[in-house]
Amino acid sequence: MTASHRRAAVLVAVVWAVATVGVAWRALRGVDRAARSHEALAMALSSRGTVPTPAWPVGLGARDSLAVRTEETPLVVRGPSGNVITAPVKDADDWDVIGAVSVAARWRERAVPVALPAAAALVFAATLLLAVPAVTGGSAAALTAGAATVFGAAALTTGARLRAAAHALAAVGHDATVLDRVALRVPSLSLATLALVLLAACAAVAVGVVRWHAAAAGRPVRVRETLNAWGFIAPSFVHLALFTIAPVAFLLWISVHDWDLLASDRPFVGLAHFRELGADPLFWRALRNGLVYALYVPVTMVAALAAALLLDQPLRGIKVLRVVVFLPYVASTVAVALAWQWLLHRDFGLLNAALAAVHLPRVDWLGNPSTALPALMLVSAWGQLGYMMVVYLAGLQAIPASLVEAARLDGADAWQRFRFVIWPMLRPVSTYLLLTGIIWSFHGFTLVYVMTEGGPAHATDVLVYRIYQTAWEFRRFDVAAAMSVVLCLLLLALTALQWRTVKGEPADA
Amino acid sequence: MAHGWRSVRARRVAAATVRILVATGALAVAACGADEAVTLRITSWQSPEENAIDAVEFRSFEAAHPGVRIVNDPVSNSAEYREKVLTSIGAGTPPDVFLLDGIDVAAFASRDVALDLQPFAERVGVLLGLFFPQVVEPFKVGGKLLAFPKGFSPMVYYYNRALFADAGLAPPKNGWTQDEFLAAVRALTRDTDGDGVVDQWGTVLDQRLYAWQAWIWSAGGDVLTADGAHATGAVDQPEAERTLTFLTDLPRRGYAPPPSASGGALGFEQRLFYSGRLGLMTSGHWMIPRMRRYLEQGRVQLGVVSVPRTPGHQVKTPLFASGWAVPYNTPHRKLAVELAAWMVRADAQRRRAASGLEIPTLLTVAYESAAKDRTGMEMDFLWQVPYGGVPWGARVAQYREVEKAMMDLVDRVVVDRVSVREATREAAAVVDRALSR
Repeated sequence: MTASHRRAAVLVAVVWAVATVGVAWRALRGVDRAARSHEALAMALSSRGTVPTPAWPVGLGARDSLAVRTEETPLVVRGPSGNVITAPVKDADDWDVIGAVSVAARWRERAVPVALPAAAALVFAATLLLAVPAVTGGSAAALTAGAATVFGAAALTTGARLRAAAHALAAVGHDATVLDRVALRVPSLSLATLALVLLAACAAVAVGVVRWHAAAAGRPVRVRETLNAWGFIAPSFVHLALFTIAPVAFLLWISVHDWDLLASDRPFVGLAHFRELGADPLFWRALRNGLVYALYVPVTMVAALAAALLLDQPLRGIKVLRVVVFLPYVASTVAVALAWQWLLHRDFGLLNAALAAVHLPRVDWLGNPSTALPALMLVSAWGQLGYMMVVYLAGLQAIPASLVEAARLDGADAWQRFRFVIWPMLRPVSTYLLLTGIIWSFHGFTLVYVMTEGGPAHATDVLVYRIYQTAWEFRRFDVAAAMSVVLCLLLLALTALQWRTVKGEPADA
Repeated sequence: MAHGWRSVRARRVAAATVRILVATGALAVAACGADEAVTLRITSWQSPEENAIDAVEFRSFEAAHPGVRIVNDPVSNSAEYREKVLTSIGAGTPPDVFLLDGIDVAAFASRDVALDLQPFAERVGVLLGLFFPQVVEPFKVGGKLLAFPKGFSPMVYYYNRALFADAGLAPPKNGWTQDEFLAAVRALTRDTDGDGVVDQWGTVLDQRLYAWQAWIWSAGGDVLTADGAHATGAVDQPEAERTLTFLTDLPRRGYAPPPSASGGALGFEQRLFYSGRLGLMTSGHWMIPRMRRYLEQGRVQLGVVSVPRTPGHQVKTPLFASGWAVPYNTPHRKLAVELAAWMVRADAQRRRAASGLEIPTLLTVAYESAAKDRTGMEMDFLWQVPYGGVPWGARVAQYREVEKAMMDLVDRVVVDRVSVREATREAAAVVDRALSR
């Protein structure tokens, strides 16, 4: 056992203690707020001066007494055991406070079932504590961690008592009265319980890792290296699991259930939403539009490569030109969309003014279903040109000048140098731009949202816009989730294609 | 010596412990004290200009309720607004007061998330008898009142007085007919510079349902059956189809420019109107603040007239209203209901009316405001109220899907050139499917 292992174990115990105290503190604050809301309502009752109806005291113990004061002092309802709570009773309209009911929360009868998870956490933590002294030599940190866990369990138990009392109150009813629903609400502590259990589990794993590492000197190098590598990967993996894998799993879950924001009943429907999509012509239209829209990517690549070849010259002012070509890429997409909306407008647009100047008919670029999607593709190409050009420029500048020079000495003309030297060397760059460009084209939303809203007659309705509309306008999150799954699969297929293509590239390319 | 050192260290540790305890205690006390003031959260989809007007009401409510602070938490996108409110209510963290659009009443009612304000109305000084009954109606569902209405607007036609005069036309009168409308748009459509291209149109076709619902109603038809359960049997009936044919023929015959991709949502048609290139345009009262500048500068002279009717039928136009609602699970129910009531009291409505945003829902304030108006438009707006109808959104939870299908219907005819009959059948089938869920 080295000093560094001891320090690690102490760190684990301290982090565990701080986190446990944090969780417990939050839980206690929630419980405290609920209790204070009861008191505040009871105060409102007393200040109103009405005669409270201490009717239906439920579950009061023999030694508990109910003391309701209606003077200026706040209403305090407390038994000797200190575990009596009160809730206001309102009139049938749920408005004016006309009385109060109180109830004693009995630990054994009501709190035990809810406190069980907390007790489990405590037992688990206690078992863990047995392991920590072996590492730390019974340090104060381990004791602090133990105390923090007890504190957490106490917080949960307090909440459990309040909750049990509130449930008992909810059972009290009368035709002419209602119990205040808000006052009866006690914060849920299930998350706090879960957090405590997870904290204890994490601490156990961490201590286990420290102990294992302390005894690692005798293990094979390969095993140690593998475990070290996993240790480095672990933070990224946790991030990936929380923010990528979990949302995707939730998306899959929604797509096979009838899911509504506020519905408590969310039955499993299997592939019903996918079947609905299959029968929806607008979904297929959006998918087809997306595929057509993606064609702007290769076209832009050609233009970007041409621009890169032109701007890869040692001329004065070339950097300014590069910046000019790159600017649209860094401009706000919404601003770009609004500007192009004006440029393409049938009556006020610059493009149509130019056409009119040479006596050509005006074109309703965004209002005509046959020109609307190409118009959006044009705007996308204009926006992406700068980015693709910069990537190509980087690719061009990475080609060894000796190769081009050797081809020149061999008598190759400009076209042959491009065809047999430059282009093969740029192939990985082109593959990357093509596939990432297509993937991004399927994410295209802003231009459609701002410029056409999917119109005219769904001519520019693409999948992401349809997902947005289905979820947020039609409130059909389940069907939108099914569409997202389809989009996800499509993009996965494209990514797989990219991998295969990259793997198939010649080694010298 | 060692013992002495230990004693010093023990004292230091004890002192540090006391300091930590005192600091923790002070923090805890501060945290408890911070909860004493009540904070009410209010949310809406309103513009910054509207929020500035409402801020005056918030401050006066705070002055009248010491210890209460109001936080305005607006959402700029109306489609996302509705879901955000529903989500926050479902998550148990609702705003205390929220603005409810009349066309979303059914969607909120179907989830039973808004408090019934009927029992509290009189207690907080909201005397519903003083409101236009046609505007209270959309917020009533199953005997419950889901919001205190704050303002509304019927759908009307704005017309350019100068263009009418140039074309030798008398200003249209409320209750005018489709034939009179057609004669007007024919006369208003002109090639002013003689280049063979029309550059002044009689009117514009807005594909969105809210813009042409009044046409169907004023022709004796509807887009949904009376029970709101089907579109088949309503939008595919002769009254609706004849009117849709009439409307979709307008751009075909050159009396209206081709509809824009986004159904007029982008405002280009309004620019045509402001710049004197459009004779008639359908819209609501919400256009007034934007036009006020042009009106005051004398750059445009406008009038307001009802949506044309078919002979033998009465004018009927949807009244689009919004009102302040309270989630059922607000932690400050009484204060929240009082705030909702505060926002619809006469003074608040006067302030909003002065900005031209909407028609006040209190009769006295509405007529008082109309009496001060020098354009004459306010009286024409009020003329529509007895002919107002409840928009379908107040009765049908899937209204947004209905709205979209109806917009597609017009696009299919105007853009895809299918027959009105085919388009209405298709739209009816789509809507029926949505309504059957």
